[in-house]
Amino acid sequence: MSTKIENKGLHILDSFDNMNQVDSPLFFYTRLLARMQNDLHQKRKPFFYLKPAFMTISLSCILIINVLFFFNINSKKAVLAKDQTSSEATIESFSNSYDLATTSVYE
Amino acid sequence: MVEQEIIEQLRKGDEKAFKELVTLFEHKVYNTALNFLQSHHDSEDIAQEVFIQVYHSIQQFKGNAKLSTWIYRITITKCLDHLRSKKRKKRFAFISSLFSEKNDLLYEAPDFDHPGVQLDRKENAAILFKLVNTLPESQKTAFLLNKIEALSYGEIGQIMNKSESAVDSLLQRAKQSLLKKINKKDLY
Repeated sequence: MSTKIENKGLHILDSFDNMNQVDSPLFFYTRLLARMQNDLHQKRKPFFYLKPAFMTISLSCILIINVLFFFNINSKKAVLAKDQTSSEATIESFSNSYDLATTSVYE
Repeated sequence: MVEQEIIEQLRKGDEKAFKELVTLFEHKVYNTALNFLQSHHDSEDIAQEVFIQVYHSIQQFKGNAKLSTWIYRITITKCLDHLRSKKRKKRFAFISSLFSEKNDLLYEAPDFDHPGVQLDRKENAAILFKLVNTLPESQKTAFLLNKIEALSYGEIGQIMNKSESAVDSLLQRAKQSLLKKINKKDLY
C-alpha cells in the first residue's frame, strides 16, 4: 500500500515533465510599445512638497518664525534683567529701613 | 542579429534591436511568469514590465552572464515581488474584512489549468501547482526552473546566484517536502 502511495506521489511530481510551452499573447509587442509610450506621456508629477515654490515658501516661513522667536527671546531677557535689578533694590531698601538686615552672630 | 549585436544596438536605443529582443525572449519570459504566477493576465503584465526594465537597464548589463540568464533573473525577481505584494494585499484584505461590514475577501483563483500540460496529467499538475506554491521562494524557483524550464543545475545556479551543489540541495529538499505534502493530502 505504501509503495502504491509513493508511486502515486512520484507520478504527481512528474506531472510537469514534457510540458509544452505556451504561446505568448497575440500582439504582445504592440501592446508593450503602447504601454511604454503611455508611461512616457504620463510622466509622474513631482510630489507637491518637492516643488520649488512650496519649498521656498516653507523655508521663508521657518526663517521668519526663527527671527521672530530670536527677537522675542532677547526682549524678554532684557525685561527680566530689569525687573530683577529693581526688585533687588526694593528689598534691600526695605530691609535697611526696618533694620531687618541679617547679621551673623559669628561676624 | 547575434546576442552581442542586439545588446550593442539596444544600448544605442535602436527600436529594431528591441523588437528582435522581445521576439527572441517573449515566450520564455511569458512562460516563466505563467509558471510562477499561474495567471495569464498577471503573466502578460509582468512580461511587459520585464522588457521595460530590460530596455531601461541595458546600460547596466555588464555581460558577465548570458543575456538570457539576466532576463530570467529579472523575470523571477519581478514574479516573486508580485507574489509578495499579492500576499500582502490579501493579508490586508483579511484584516479589513474583520472590521468592515462586507465580508469580501480577495478573489481566490480556482486551481490553475496550465494550457501546456498534457491532458492525462492535468489533474496531477493542478495538485502539484497548488503544492509548489506552499514551498519557500528559493525551493520553488529551483523546482520550477528545473522541472518546467528544463534548465541545468549550472544555469539555475547562475540565475539564482548559487552554486550547483546548493541548487541540488534546494531541489532535493523541494522534492522531499512535496512528497511529504502529497502523502499527507487525502488524494487516494
